[in-house]
Amino acid sequence: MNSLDSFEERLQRTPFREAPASLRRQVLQNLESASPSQTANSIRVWIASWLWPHPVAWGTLGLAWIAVGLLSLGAMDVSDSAVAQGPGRRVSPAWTTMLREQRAMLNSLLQDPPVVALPPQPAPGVQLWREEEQTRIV
Amino acid sequence: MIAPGELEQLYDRHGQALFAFLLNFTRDESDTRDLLQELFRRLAARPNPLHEVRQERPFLLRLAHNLAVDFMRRRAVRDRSAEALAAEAVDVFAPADDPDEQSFRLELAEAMAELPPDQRAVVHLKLWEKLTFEQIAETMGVSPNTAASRYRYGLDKLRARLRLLYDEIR
Repeated sequence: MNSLDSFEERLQRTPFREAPASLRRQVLQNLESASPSQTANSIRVWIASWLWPHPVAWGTLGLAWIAVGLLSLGAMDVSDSAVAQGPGRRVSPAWTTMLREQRAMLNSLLQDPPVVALPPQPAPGVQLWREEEQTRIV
Repeated sequence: MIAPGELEQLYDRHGQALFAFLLNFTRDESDTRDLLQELFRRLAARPNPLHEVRQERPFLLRLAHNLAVDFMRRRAVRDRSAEALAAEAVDVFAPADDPDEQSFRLELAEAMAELPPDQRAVVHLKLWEKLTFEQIAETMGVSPNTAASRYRYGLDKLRARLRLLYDEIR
């Protein structure tokens, strides 16, 4: 539908109402009164000149840092809670006694066995003589 | 930051077209004034509003359309009689000295008011802004086919509504 028919051309020739002259003044005056101070403007321009070309990239980078920070905080919370849980937990006296006994038993098992003095071994000939002597007495 | 002088020039080049589009879209002069003010306020706030903009008019019309759509959505939530407001006859066209022409313009204004806003916007952009369907599609965030079909439906309704009067004064 590239070419217009006569009806479309007729509509097209119908002019719209002029915008009121006061509107131009109102729009532009409000812009001046709404504009911030020169210093604030220049700071904003400076920031915008840094951020403007790649706002999405900066935003993504910021989000990535926030995500890393949150993950790191989460990990710290987990280890802290594990540490905090240890000493605060109540243990029954029976359990403590049993643990103590088990620990003592483990220590005793791990220690070197006591050195027992063995009787001196007689010489092979002496042993034989003793056996013969016994037989004779009997 | 755009200089105040540039904004004035921008207003002089496109203010009338933006006013007509917004008035035809919202059917309310007070809302049109507010939206035009808001549009220029946003332009003034951006560091380089027309940087890399190939065609100013379609770009500004897109901004105006987006603002108007947001505004009408809010108005619809706030005021359920928004459609009734849109159907009210508003002087969107210039007054004519010839009585036949004047009655045609009034009828056309009423017929436009009866169109759904999307069709009204497409018809306006096609006929009075002479945008292509590709440009209209870009302006309104729809496909060119959708823009073309909305134009066809809208135009058919206008044709049906104005046929008698149009045949009389032709």
